[in-house]
Amino acid sequence: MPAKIAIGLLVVLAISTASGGAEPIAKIPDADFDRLLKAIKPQPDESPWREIPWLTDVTEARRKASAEDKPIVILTAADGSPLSRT
Amino acid sequence: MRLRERELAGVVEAYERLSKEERLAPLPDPAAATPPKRPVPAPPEGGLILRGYCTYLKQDKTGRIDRANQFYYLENPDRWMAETQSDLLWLTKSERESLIPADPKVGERRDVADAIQKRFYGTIGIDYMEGSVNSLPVRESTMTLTVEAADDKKIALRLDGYAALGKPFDEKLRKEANSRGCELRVVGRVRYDRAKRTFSRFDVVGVGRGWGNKMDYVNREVRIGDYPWLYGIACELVTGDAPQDRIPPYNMLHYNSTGPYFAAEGR
Repeated sequence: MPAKIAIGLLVVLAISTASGGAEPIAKIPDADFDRLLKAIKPQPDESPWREIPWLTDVTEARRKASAEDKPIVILTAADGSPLSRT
Repeated sequence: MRLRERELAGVVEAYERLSKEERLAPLPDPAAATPPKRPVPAPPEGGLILRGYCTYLKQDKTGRIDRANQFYYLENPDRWMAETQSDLLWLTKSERESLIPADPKVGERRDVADAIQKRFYGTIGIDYMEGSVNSLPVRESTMTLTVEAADDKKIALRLDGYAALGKPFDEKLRKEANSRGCELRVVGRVRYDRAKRTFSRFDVVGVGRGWGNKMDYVNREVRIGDYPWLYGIACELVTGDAPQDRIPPYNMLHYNSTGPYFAAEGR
């Protein structure tokens, strides 16, 4: 009987520590590593703005724009940098 | 974010109509500018920069996990596809060095420092698809590095980890503000170049499950049918040479509810 109680307790603990009721997250198979890495990163053509060599220093941008006779596009955001979380 | 090509075309035309004197007006002396009240921090000297990514995932009946496409404000006729988000993780020089085994033996496994685990999981291990979300406190976590191969030139390490963050899962959090929580499992492939004394690879994949709502919101901006929902994170090494690789991590500057970004001794 004590053994059954112990097993019962272990099962309860295993469920409760994982996610408090949500289905526990399974381990990531090694065979899926490269596929998931590719799937989670930005997809081809998803974010073409990432390919632009942005400058983050306004003074440097003004100097470069003046030297190359080009206008400046300024991208800004209320929170954080638009070049990271958008 | 969309690049507004049509609007910008008009601006370029207007610019080209300006005289050269107007286009190339002299720049004020930057040294005369009022210094910023809050200078933008630079990455720690000799540290490590990782760029993280976040997106939604789905699981089919066979258990296969793949990328899921979701929309911001699904009910809006002008809805747009949720875009992969990215953020950065900074480690100090001493934290970077702590990841490198001094005398690597194949099969040797070591715990990653708690401060790194807390920062990694709390800032780039969470679901940040809604952009401006603050870090989450870690309730429990593990992160280990195992030596898979080592010779005079390189060390190959495997990273394994798990974390539970924020509020524990509860169905009722679906309609509660400030109620985010998640759990995450990660695997990584890390390579260290002993000759150059630099990391040459730091790829990590994470599969997580998220729940709850951010701040005062009780409806997520991204409407997802599943609750809890699946999300994925990935990260990679960046050199820090490009300006956009040197942007401070989001939670270093904004809404970090879990304490200072670096531990007191960190920098």
